Parts: sequence; C-alpha cells; structure tokens
Amino acid sequence: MIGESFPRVLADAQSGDDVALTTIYQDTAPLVLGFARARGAVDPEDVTSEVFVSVVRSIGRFEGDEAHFRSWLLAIAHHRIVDSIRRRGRHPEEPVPTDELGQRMLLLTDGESEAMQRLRSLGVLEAIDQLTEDQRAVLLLRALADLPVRQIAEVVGKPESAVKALLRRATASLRRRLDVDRGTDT
Amino acid sequence: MPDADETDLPEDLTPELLDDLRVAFVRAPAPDVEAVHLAAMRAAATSRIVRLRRRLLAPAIAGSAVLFGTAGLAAAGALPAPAQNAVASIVSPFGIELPRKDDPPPPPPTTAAPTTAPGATAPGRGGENPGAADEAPGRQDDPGASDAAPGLGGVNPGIGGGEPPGQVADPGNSANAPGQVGNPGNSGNAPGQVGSPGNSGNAPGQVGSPGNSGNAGSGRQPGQQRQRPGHGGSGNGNAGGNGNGNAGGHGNGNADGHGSSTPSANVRPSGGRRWLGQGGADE
Repeated sequence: MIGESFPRVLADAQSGDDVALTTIYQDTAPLVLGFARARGAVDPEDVTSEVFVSVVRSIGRFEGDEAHFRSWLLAIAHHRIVDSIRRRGRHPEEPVPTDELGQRMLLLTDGESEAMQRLRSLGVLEAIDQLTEDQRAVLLLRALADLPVRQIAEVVGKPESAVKALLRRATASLRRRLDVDRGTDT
Repeated sequence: MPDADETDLPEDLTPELLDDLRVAFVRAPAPDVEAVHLAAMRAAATSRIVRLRRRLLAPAIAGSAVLFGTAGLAAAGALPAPAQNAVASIVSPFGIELPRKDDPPPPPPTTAAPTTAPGATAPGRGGENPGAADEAPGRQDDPGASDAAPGLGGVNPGIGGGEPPGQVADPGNSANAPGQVGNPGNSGNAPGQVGSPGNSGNAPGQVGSPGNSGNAGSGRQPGQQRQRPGHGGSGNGNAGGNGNGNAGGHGNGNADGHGSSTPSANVRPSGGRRWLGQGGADE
C-alpha cells in the first residue's frame, strides 16, 4: 500500500510523471500478476502489461482514494483476464484443469516454496481449480486482495447479492473438496 | 478490511493458508518483466500526453482561425450588419474604430421615373441610324385600320391634341421637314419598331428611351420619306409611336423635326394604326 502519499502520487501519475507511475506499478503489479496467475490466464505477464497500459491511458479520469484505485485496477485486470480466457477458447465457467494450474505455478514460482507445498499438500490448489470462473474470481479477490463484498461487486460488475451467492457456493465447494481430499488422504 | 459477517471463507482456509495463497500467487514480477512493463507504460503515457496536447491544440487553432477571420472581415466591413455593428461596439472601447452599418441603405432607384426631360430623349439619336429603318413609311401600319385616332375621338386631331392649328390641320406638313412631311407617323417609330407603335409610344417614363422617341421620324431615311411623301398614312406610326412620347419625351422627336410633329395626335400608342389626318376624318 502506498498510504498517505497516495493522492500526491496519483496526481503525479495523472500528469504523466514516470516516478509516480513506477511507484504505482511496483505497489500493485504483484497483486495484478498474482490475480492473473491464480485465475488461470494464459500469459499472466502479458495480461499484467495490458492492464497497466490501460491504467496509464485512463488514469487521468480516475477519482478516488487508494482502496478505490485498487478496485478499479483489479476491475481492469478482471476484464483482461476474462478476455484472455475467452481468447483461449475455453468456456468461462469451465474450471482450469488442475494439472495445468500446477504446471503454471511450477513455471512461475521457479521452484516450490513452502507455501506452495502446503497448499498442494492440503489440496487447496486443486480445490480452487474445481471452482467456476466466477466463483474463483470472487474467492481470489477476497483471499488475495482482501476486498469486501461491495468492492468485489464493483470489480466483477455484479450485484452484491450475486457476489455473496458466488462466495457462498465457492466456499461450500471448496470445503467439500478439501474434505474429500482429507478423507482420501486419511 | 471485510466485514466480520462477510468473512465466511471456509474454516479450513485458515489465516495461515490465506497467507500461503498470497505468498504463492502475489509476487513481484521478474526484473526483466518489470522493465518491459514499465517501458510499455512510458510509451502509453507519452502517447497519452501527445493526444492531450492535440486535443487542446485543435480547439485553440480553430478558435484562433475564427477570431482572426472575423477580425479581418470586420476590419473590411464585410460582416453582416448585426455582426459588424456588434464587433464594432466590442472593439470601440479599445480605441479601434471599425466601420458600422448603421446607416440606412440608399433608396432603391425608381425604375419608372416620370422625368420627361427633353434631353432624356436624345433627338439626335434618332438620326444616328436613319437608314436603319427597315420599312417604308407607308408600310408601317394600315392607317385606315384604326378605328379612332388617339386622342382625336373624331375631332379634329389638331384641335383635340391641342396642337397649334397649323400643325394639326396639316399634320403631314406640320413641323416636319419638307421631305419628311409625308411620314410623320414613321417618325414616331423606331426603325426596328415600326410595326409596333406601342413601342414607340412609350409611357411617359419611357419617353426617355432615346431610341424610341428619337427614332421618331429619324428612323426614316430621308430618301425613303421622300419617296412616299404623299403617304400621309405614315402618320399612323406617329399616332402610336409618339402618342406616349408626347407626355414627356415626345417633344424630343419634334426637336429633331422628325415628323413627330403631331404630338397631340399621338396620344394613343395603339393608335398607330391611324393616320392623323384620317383619324379625324373617319371619326
């Protein structure tokens, strides 16, 4: 988070200041890239680049605080990811195969970290892979970006009630999956 | 932070696992990837600034063009009256005086000016082309065909016309050159208009038409007139042609002495068919 200096950084970025743009990029690019990775974008780095180019082009019209800026940024990322997935020719509601996600994570992480190993061992990654695109989107926005329901609704362009329903179904599916994995393991 | 009632993530997703998720996925891009992304952002920012400048410059250029164009037209006084006056009023406090269009427009010229100045009918013009007469005097019209002599009304034309008796009594001779006496009517007609007494008999306002009145009589070649001196019937032409000319410019023809010597008898343009001398006789 940029914090208190965000308004000044935003103003500088809106005027085209390179330092301010770099600051914003370095602060938010990991979240955008991670969101794209977890969503199963074909080329997360490419999607991230497109997102920030769009941000630069339209940042002059943005008004709001840092929290709103993150929501706005993730909304752009969400649409780019959806476009990427559609370009891939896959149905949006079709879950990403576990093997593919695991393979991408191996390539992206440059070796499995402890966190990844734990996630794998607990079957979290596989459970997430079984979710639909929308369920995965709202769940990851909640888990990765720590966004409240209202901002998640703004990002995905759905009513809050729909977002809550998606979150409930995603949670139930994830719980079932984790229980199954545990039962299998045990 | 999400509200407490919204954090209904699975209990299995403990904060530790959530942290693991974030650590596993939310990681900074590689330095080379970051460099590429920043370069793309700089390029986008540059193009955006260029677009902004263009967006600002285009209206400025257009506004300047309109301003200078209006100023130029205003300086030349070429703007419409309201705009010209408005611009003049705007710039006058600055010591710039521009032409105004407050003055009323000049009155339109009167087309039927009743000015029958004698000079309006150029007598001499009639003689300019005396040989142009394309008809013999006697061929002009049928004198006897007319029912009434204009202005005569069966009365002695000379009297009815108020002309000197001597002229009226002998219209063919009166005021006509000796050799032209026989064609008083012809004198009233323009050479090319001989057959149309109405033309020669112009309205008073048209008497000024030099060709008409001036041609009266003068349109006849002297020789032609002499050829048929006795054809007083040529006076018919006068009856029409000079009829109106009398009102204003008829005297011009007379000034030339070109046979339009029967001014009063030429009152009626259509009366060109009538020979003066016969008009009274017939009536």
